[in-house]
Amino acid sequence: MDPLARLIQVLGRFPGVGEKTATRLAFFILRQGSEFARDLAQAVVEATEKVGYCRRCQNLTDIEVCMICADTRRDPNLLCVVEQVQDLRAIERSREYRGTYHVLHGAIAPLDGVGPDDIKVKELLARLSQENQEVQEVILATNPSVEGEATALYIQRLLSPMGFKVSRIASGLPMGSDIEYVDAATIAQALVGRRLL
Amino acid sequence: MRLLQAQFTDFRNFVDATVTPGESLSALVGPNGQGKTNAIEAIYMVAALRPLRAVQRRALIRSGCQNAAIKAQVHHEQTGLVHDLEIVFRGKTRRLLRDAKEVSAIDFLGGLVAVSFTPDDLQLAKGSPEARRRFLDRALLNARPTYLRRALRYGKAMRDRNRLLQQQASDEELTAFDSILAEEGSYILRARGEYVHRLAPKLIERFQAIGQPAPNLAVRYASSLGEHTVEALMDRLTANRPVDRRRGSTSVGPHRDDLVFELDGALAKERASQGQHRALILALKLVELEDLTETLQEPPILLLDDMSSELDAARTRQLFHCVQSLQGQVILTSTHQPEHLPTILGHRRELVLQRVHAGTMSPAEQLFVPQPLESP
Repeated sequence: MDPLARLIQVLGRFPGVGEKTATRLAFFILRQGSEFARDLAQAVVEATEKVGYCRRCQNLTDIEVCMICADTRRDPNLLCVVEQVQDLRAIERSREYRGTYHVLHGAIAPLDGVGPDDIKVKELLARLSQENQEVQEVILATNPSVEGEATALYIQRLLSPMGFKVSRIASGLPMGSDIEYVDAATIAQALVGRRLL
Repeated sequence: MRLLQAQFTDFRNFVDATVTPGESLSALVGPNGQGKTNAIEAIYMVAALRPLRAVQRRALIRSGCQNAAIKAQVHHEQTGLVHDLEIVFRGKTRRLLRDAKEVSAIDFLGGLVAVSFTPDDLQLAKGSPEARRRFLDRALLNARPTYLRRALRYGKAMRDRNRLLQQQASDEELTAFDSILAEEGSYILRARGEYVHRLAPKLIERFQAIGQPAPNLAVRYASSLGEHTVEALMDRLTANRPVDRRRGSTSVGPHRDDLVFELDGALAKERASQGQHRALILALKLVELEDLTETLQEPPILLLDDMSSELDAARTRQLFHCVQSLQGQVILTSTHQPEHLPTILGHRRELVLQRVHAGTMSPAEQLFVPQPLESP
């Protein structure tokens, strides 16, 4: 196969990358020369070989226990459950949360053939069943989609009997926005989730 | 709400056609099979985001073309603003633009609100419960934008639940999806119940006025649930789980309900005569229109496809009399000769006319009604 065509085909497998973008990327790589290509190839190989799951929280890391889990300044009483590593990163960007995490790597989605055993629920339970663990409250921060909601409800029903305080992240108006420009569904949700002052 | 202009590009059999309706009444005239219904359908799609008739999305694009587009310019009386709405079809996908900005379906809906009345609607009281649920859903979607999101989530959660039932999944997993079904389903049940409750007295009054002499009409939302609370639905979903597991589908919830009409205590779908059916549907559409006018505080657009062939002269006039009292804009299709239209419709103001011929649309012409006609 023509090496250029092969490169375009491989790049085209990225999510959100169509043939046009794949072609643009391929030409960009060729223009950069062999040093860039070797760098890129090495970075890809190294990342795939070295990055794995954190033994405790299932975050992606190149060490056994990730930086967050290893950080002793973190509050061990709080555990935040998220669907994806990207969600963990988004919460970290807020710098407001100082507890620990658990990454599920997905949500229960029957129509896509994803069940509880296909995501890291077992690992969560195992972790919370350990005798020396200190978690008091589990915050379920899965997406507000049908799958995310169902996953939260599923986990809640497993954890409540174990004596954990289980909470669900709130949904509603984005900060710094004008109500005027917020979509109707979000406004309705924000009204349902209103709180007394 | 006024539709100022609608433009279709490669939609169905139109290459490029523009409808410029008048303030009150506009007629698209021409023989059958020229594209009149397609034009009504295009306008309806901007309002409802679904075609009048069940059809694959690909079939909306003119054969041999890659894309199709519908553009509509709508004036909102409440705000005094004019919005540009556009739907672009490409293969199986669809993009929605509001004022040249891509938006979600929830934000797109409400830009144009229309009520349609087509010969298919005359089957409403007789046909399957699904058609009546769809009537309720469309009416509610116009009145409350969040209804769509709730209905979509309900549908998704139910497909998920049915898959789990077929796979004999664990009770814990089913309970998670049941909770979502109960939450969204209860909202749908309450919204439908309230709507029918509000509509019923108006509908009965309207039906009596049209019928003459009319039997006693009763209208109710027939639900598989006595109570419409989240807890009641959750309890039933749990109780029905063994049965549902055997059937591989969900046996309780708003997707199983019906809107029931009774005439003198007997089911209308079994008892009613052809004439009574028509009177009932006409009354239902008029009440829907009135109710929507009240909710929106401005009249929606009424789209009438080939109605004068289905309703007799007296009922057609009744329909138009009511529509004119609401001051709404009406776009209709007709196979009649244009000069007969004012008489048929009992219309006393000017009429805007466009002729449809083989997927083309003639420029709008004003048809003045010379002298006041007898009131209906």
